[in-house]
Amino acid sequence: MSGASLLELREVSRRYVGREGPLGLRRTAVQAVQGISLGLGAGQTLGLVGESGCGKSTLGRLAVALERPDGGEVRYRGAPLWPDLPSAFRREVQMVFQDPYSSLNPRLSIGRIVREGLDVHGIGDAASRRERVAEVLGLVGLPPGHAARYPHEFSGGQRQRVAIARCLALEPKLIVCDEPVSALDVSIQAQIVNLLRDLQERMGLAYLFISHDLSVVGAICDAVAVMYLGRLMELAPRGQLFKEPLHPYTQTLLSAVPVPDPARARQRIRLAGEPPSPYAPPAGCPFHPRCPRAFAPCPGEFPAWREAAPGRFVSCHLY
Amino acid sequence: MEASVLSLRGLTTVFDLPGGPATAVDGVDLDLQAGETVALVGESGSGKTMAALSCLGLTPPPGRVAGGSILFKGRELAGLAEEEYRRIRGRHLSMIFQEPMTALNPVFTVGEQIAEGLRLHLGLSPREAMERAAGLLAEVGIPNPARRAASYPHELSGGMRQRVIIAMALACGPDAVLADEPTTALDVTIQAEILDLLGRLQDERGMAVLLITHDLGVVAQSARRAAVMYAGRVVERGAVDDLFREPLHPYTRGLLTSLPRLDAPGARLTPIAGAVPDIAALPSGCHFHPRCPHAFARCRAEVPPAFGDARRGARCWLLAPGSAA
Repeated sequence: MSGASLLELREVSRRYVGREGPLGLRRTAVQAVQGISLGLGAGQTLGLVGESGCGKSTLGRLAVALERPDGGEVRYRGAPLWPDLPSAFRREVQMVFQDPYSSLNPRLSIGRIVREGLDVHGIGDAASRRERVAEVLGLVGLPPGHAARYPHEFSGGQRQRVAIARCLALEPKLIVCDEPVSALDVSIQAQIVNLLRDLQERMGLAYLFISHDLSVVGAICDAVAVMYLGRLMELAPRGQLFKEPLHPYTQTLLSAVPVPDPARARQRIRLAGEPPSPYAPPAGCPFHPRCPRAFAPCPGEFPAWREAAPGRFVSCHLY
Repeated sequence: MEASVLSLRGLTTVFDLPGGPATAVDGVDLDLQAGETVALVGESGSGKTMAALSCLGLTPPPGRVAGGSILFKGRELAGLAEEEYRRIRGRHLSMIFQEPMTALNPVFTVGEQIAEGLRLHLGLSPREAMERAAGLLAEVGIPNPARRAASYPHELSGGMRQRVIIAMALACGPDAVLADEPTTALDVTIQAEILDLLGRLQDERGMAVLLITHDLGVVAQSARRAAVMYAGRVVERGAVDDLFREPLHPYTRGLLTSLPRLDAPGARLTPIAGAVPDIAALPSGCHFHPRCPHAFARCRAEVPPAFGDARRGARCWLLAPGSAA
């Protein structure tokens, strides 16, 4: 994923410190994201997958500058996000959250919610803002008349359309979608996935699409990055990742997805043990205690990020 | 045909809401035989969970079982007194709940929670019950079971908690288990392990499992037969192979075309238009008609009966003898 990068993460790390134990005397730290480098070009979709606690949401928050990295840097159109955000960043980079029931203010009408970004950025006058709101509601398939309604009047899928309209109002270049369809029923999930694809085609949007659901990621992403316990394990174009995953963790993850086809009995890779705690990740490659192919160097050091084949990157001592 | 362990006929559960009664479960017929897994599939609000709770006499108020029959090993459970229900629930018929965080009591050790049912139903002494609880933890694949029995729920991972819940449901050797989205809250690799575990325990114990899920992938991999629910009604039933290969109901077909598939990444999805209706304001006739691409006049006017037989069929006017389709 080289070329003209819209968003670039270089060796990005983020650690959270908390307190635990009696009286909160014991300090605990979680390395949520460690040394991750990724790039995303204009108009592309990069999927970020991994199981709960792998750091994918933290990475999303770092990408939209809701979090500041404590190692490495994030760049937007070549300019670092910190200490001062590049101009237009807050307008051009938007986010869609997982839960459409908590991401919309229940006391504001849909019109106000969608208009708020225009107000904040001082774009247009009252009339042109109203026009823009109607326009983006139309883009996401909601009648403009719905602008006067409130979030509770809408179903989960419609709310997610509102959240997308709120992003679109500002003509973004990049939308970070954090599990945007996970709370929705399958029949509605497909509507939103199709909507995101159509909008991308029409407006040249780039997506950073975070999901635990590999099938959904496959439906929308050009390339997929796989995370495990704060580390990036593999990055590959979609087709290659699904057809021939390189990293044993990716292989395991793919083999665990139940395929909706009773005729296909699956050969599942069985993992040993429990997923380790992010508070005490194993040394070396964090996957090694459960990896069916672990060998001598794995507990020793984290494998370097290397290009195993053209366009295919992996962190694994096997390659 | 073998006798059913659990047999529902016309099960109807109604919620008495301020705006009038709302039907959450509408005339559901279902048979569950010893040793088999039947999937009850549906989206949120389809009534699948409420059907299971109704079987257990756990319908939350203002809901109530308003009609139909719940035959469990030949005994009628509909209208059973709470006291009688308690002797059956957890002993002969048990439930696995979805949310491993909330289904366990945070102030008791997991061993105590498993032992509770053993003491109440089987009259074991506290010590025998704790020993048996540790044995059950071993059976569901928890390492160090004797030590783990003394753990509190918050000390366990989500996957471990779900194993504890399964151990609780199986403790007294039930004839049938109703598993409500047993893996939905879990990561895929853990989900795979839990489904394996359920399958293995079922084989070993010969119990019947009603697997309630929204995930067609889970259905395809875990069940032989399935019933698809929509807005309170079973709209299609059949062997899982037939259901996936040749769905009869447009809703089932829509669910299948909505699914993104790993074996065809990037393929355009064909969603179902519209949204699931509110059970307090259900469409007339076939509840699916406003979203159905094939709906015609009759669909709006009349409720389709179940065409076919108890093993394979669907509630759709397209299947009526003499229908144009």
